[in-house]
Amino acid sequence: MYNKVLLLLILFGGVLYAEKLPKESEQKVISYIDKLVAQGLASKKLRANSRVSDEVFLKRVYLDIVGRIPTLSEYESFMSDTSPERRTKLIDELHESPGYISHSFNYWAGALRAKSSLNKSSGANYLHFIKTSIAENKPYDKFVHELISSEGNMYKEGNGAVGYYVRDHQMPLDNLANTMQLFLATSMVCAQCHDHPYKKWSQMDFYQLAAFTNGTQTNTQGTDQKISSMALKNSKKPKSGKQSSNNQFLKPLRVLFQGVYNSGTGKINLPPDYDYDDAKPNQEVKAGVPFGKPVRIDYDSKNGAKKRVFTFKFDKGGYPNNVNSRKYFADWIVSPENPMFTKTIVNRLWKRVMGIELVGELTDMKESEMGPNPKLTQFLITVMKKLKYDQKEFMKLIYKTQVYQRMATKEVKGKYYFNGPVVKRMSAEQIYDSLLSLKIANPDRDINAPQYIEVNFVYRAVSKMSYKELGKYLEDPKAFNVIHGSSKSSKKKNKKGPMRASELKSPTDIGSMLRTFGQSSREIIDDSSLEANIPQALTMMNDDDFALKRSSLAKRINSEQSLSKKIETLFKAILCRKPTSSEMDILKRYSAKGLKIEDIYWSLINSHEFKLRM
Amino acid sequence: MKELFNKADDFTRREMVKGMAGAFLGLNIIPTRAQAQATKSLPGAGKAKSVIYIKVTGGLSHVDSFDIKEKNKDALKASGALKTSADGIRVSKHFPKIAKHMDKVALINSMFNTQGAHRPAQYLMTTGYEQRGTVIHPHFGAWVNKLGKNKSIDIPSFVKVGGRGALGGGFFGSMYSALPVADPKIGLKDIKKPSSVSADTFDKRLALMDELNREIEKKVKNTTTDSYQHVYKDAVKLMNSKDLDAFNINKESAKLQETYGKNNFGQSCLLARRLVEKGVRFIEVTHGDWDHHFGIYDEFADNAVNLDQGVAALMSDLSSRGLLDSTLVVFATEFGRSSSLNSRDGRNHHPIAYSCWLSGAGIKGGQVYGKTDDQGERIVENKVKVPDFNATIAYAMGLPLNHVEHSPEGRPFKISDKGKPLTMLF
Repeated sequence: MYNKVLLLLILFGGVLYAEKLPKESEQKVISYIDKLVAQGLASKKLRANSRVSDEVFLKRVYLDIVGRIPTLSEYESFMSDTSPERRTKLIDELHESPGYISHSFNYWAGALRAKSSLNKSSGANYLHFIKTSIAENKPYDKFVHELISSEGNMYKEGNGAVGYYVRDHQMPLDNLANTMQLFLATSMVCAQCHDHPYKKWSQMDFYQLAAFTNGTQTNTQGTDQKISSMALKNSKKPKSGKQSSNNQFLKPLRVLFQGVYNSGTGKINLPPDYDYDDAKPNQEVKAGVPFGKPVRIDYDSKNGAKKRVFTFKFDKGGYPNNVNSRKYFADWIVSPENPMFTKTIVNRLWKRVMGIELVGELTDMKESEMGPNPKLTQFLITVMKKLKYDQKEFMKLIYKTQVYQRMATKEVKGKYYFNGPVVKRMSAEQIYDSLLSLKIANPDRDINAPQYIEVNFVYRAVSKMSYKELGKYLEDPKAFNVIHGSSKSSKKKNKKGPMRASELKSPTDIGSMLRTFGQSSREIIDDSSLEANIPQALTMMNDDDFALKRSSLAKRINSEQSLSKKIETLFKAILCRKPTSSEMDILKRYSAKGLKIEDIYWSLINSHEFKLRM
Repeated sequence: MKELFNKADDFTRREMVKGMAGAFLGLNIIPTRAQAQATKSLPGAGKAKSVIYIKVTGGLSHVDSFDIKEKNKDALKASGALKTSADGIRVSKHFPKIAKHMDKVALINSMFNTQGAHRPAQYLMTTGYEQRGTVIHPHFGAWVNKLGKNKSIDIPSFVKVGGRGALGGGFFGSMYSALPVADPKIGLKDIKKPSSVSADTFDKRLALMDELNREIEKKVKNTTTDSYQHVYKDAVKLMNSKDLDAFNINKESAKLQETYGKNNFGQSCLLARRLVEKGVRFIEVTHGDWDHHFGIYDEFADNAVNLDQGVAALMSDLSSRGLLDSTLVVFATEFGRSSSLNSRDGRNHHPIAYSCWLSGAGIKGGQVYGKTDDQGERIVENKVKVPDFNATIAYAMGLPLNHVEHSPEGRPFKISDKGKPLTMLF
């Protein structure tokens, strides 16, 4: 124990806000990670995998950090760099490139189940919030806190975090179950309906947690009766005053009311079929946490209204039942003292980099669980806390370790002690984006370009309108958009040409190439799939869109003089390596049989190797 | 316990979960042979070699289609009442062709959905479970792929023609998803090699790919490379399969194509019949745009034309080929519409009472099951919950209703949840 404290002192010294570790400390942390991994392996008499070649390293870091294979020129530039620091330099550079934002967004959109189209509302501002948080490298604890405590209008610029609740409109209990799984790796799904059959969570635990977010409302239409009725008065409203038809007519006003209301009541009623001895059905229970530091909510009726994060323009009344319980909940979740929070993100990020969990299942771990190498886990938890939850810096440290830069293990059975990273099939997005980088010269353009979000524009305009203008707007919202030029810019958007997966609809439609290759449906956490299926093979073999003639490589290949040169260039561009001599023999043999360079291109993008991150 | 779990390999882990779930929740895990046989010996059970599921989306107004109400004046005035081929059963005037097949139909006028929004209601209809944020339930068709696949053909047992939405593998994984056909006139996507590539070149490309794969397998051979090896083999097999013919509706006479209706839905029904002949077990065909919140009668009649024609043609075609005895035709919508018009002459969502019907595969035709009040607002007799409806389909197909599959978290699920089959319809 003494050693550890001393070591941390040496490593982090007096650095309090360690946005970037000093070079020297950084190297010490990296070496210590390697040392702990080595100890773990030695304790089981296992041997580390051997160091990986520059070529394999290159393809791997591009896929892992920026989400696609390197272009030919990126390959050539790295392979001609002879400095001993070239790997470290590349790791740093890639983390500052737009591809990092793109790839990280795909990852978090899958984890958060973030969609372009939410229930009755657009998710654009939410997706923008996620992307911007990545681009700013917002500390992870801050990011999570903003999601959990989010409040206010969905389309107000900068307020996209409320998408976290709007996404689960009318499913608050599922939202809670997902919060516990995603941020605290605590799976309580069963406890939603009954005590967990073989874990310790009771239905009471679940409801006490649900009390924190109870009272939160999403997308309430007609929240402001006054503005609705005034707008109606100023327009050619429907003849009869039936509520249902008015609601339909008032649809265009939804932009004003979509978002998250109320800060949480901190209380909830048990379900009518509650069947345990500790309480009665429908009984009211107060918020409470099943582990970590107990939370005490100030139930003073003034608390909620006073501390309300956001007030609607049209709000008049107070919110006496709301006691800001979601903020208490957020504080508890992200606290460094929460036994699950840091471990969960460390486990996640280690898997993102190494291809395998550090501790246990991403969304389901025990409090006491520390994984196959507990010392390593403990150290990484400490590192994350010291780094103030800087995700990027944390991952960079792991990329720079020896353990990451080893040959990948083909398959893992049973406990794994990190002999090296683990071979994976590329994700749907990595395959899509890699094909894109074969197709166009600059695949990373326009990632997270300043975005024109139409809903934000409509909200801004509508929230400033007088009742009279609102009445007019209700009569023809479409005409209104044209006047304000939003249609013009959406046309412009369509001209952009092929873009990275992160810039497309989230998720893309069923039947798209991305979905065929297992892009997450965004319906449940981490729902992407790496499974093989028949339509994938059909697409890769038969879709002419992936042919060499449609690739920006074609010109370069044609300019090469000899067959050997052409083949070598294809290998570098597609597989990120030179061909072996036996491969060269095979290709020459097939070339003699009549296969042309485009056929070889086809065989390479259809090969197993192209799809693998090794 | 958890530690033990992690050490166990996948198989034992699954078995343990099963065992525990059974012990703790008192569930019947796997039907015994005797139970399965008992199911089979019931009347009608297992007669459906195939199912054609006509998914009518948006919420078809029951009072304007199959639940005729004398006292619902608005509906009666606009949609009328036609005598059908079944004594005492009338349908609206918008379905004159289906009317001629009602003697083969068991009409259910007491459907009950717990969900009032389209997606969750459709989700319940297709999976048998209410939508949750923590698990994706497999589509009924994925259960068919899992429990009752026809292994004698190259085509999977779940084909989805047209329509949007997920391919339904759910937690079973994409291996059990629907094979999608976006456009019945085109058939399967990317099923043919690029036209610029000769057959000979294509074969050589494959051969080269194989040799390159053997090279890389010297370094990396694992479950991923193995599964792609299989998948490519199966894909090429499918590309060359004689079963593919089933997807080519151009093999049908121009006259028959006309009879089904030269539109996407009609041709989808025709394709479905071809797939039934080939032995595909579950085919989903979609007809949409029934969400009439405004001015329902401006659009209703027009929208009914293709649906009426396609379904009626399918029924005739199946009967005349003797396929209706072994094919269950399911006509289903996610909910009905409110029995009274709203102020904009539309009807709102109405999940608490609506109509669906079944025909073929041993179903007794010319009967009505369940009843609503005289406006068509509430069920007064024999409520049929969605899982009961789905259990009836599973029963007709001879699939084990009590068979339990576990999600990756170890939660137990059945093909139609706790639904009880409507055996009295057979």
